[in-house]
Amino acid sequence: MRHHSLKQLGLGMMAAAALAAPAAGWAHAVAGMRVFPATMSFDDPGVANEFSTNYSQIKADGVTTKNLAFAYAKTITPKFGLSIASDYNWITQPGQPNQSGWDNVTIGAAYQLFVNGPHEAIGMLALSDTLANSGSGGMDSNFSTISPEFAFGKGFGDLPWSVKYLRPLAISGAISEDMPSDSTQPKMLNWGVSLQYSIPYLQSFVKDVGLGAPFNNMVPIVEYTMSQCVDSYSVCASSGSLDRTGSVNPGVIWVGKYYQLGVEAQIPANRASGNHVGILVGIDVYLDDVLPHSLGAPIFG
Amino acid sequence: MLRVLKRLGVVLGLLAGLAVSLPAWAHAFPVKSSPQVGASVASAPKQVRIWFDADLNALFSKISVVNSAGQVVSTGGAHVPAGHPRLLETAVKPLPAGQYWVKWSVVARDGHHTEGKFPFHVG
Repeated sequence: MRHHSLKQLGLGMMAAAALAAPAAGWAHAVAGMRVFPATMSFDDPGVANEFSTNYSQIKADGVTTKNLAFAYAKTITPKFGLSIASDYNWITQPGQPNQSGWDNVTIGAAYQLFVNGPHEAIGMLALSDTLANSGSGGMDSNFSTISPEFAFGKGFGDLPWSVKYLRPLAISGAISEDMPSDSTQPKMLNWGVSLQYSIPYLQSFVKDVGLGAPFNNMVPIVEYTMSQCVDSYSVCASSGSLDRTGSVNPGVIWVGKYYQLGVEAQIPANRASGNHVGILVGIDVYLDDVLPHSLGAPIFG
Repeated sequence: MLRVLKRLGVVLGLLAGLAVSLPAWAHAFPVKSSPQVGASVASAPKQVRIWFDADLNALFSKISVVNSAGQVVSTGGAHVPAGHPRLLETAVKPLPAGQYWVKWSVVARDGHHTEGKFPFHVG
């Protein structure tokens, strides 16, 4: 009951603060000529005003997991923002009753560490807390988890002109550690990296090759994520987290003016990560651009 | 669960309502240009134009053209023509054959800044 009240209060405060926001401008992850789309399997490196929802479906050893995730991020100052996120899961397995429910709610804070326009480099520090007992009974956990994170992006726009067709390339990545409040639960190291080729960048800054809609707004991308237990052997072993698990996600993100759409395959990175290809689809609304004078603006500055 | 869904519904409804009721401008990104990005043109252009996907703040929008030695060959500064708030243009001197770079920096009506540069070749 107390958690529900806190969540309600938090949402109310964020909505009220957003409505009171003065007109000012900041961006989603933009560094110089480079726009980094929001990656779908790990955080992008920009402090922004955005609402995103992703749906994923994976199957491993007969167990099918469907996940619908929601996240909302709000800038407080041009370089500092808060976020709230949760997701709903459906789990089906042969011979077992189906399970479904909300995961714990995660609240977070992020700071834009640097933005270097000429070198298309951007970095962000974040800290999140997944709140204990804040989801559905039976599907959530009774401990909280603190997760510090660093995310970065680097465009290849400063490559020599002799290799101009490599300039639309960019990489982005994020690394974080999950530190549960329950010492019997394992600490997990999570990292993700993406390689992306921006067609908008190609056509606007290198060579207009004449691609029209919808291809002119596409960013082919490969995301690679891994998670590994970094606690003592006994804690890792008792949690069954001895193996690295993750996926390789090839796909494409369509970057529009006010939102982006993405679809990626989820290919298990190793045997421990599963034995079926999953799918990940998502939409990310750029509130900076949709509502630049209200919800999409920082509250201060 | 229902309570969480209701709250999400309220937030989404709020976003949708604001999206309908307020004007949206957003970052200004180039849509096309003349000469085209990376093009080789036989005859030198008399002006360089870039069309954007959002209205520009003329006061803070700039464009210049430089040659391969870095010398400015555009004249008269940046111009957003009346009635064409998404067009940025500048005149250029008579250009001999060679490589040129167009550098632009614009501020959209909502205050968002974007910038870029692209080449074209004459001859």
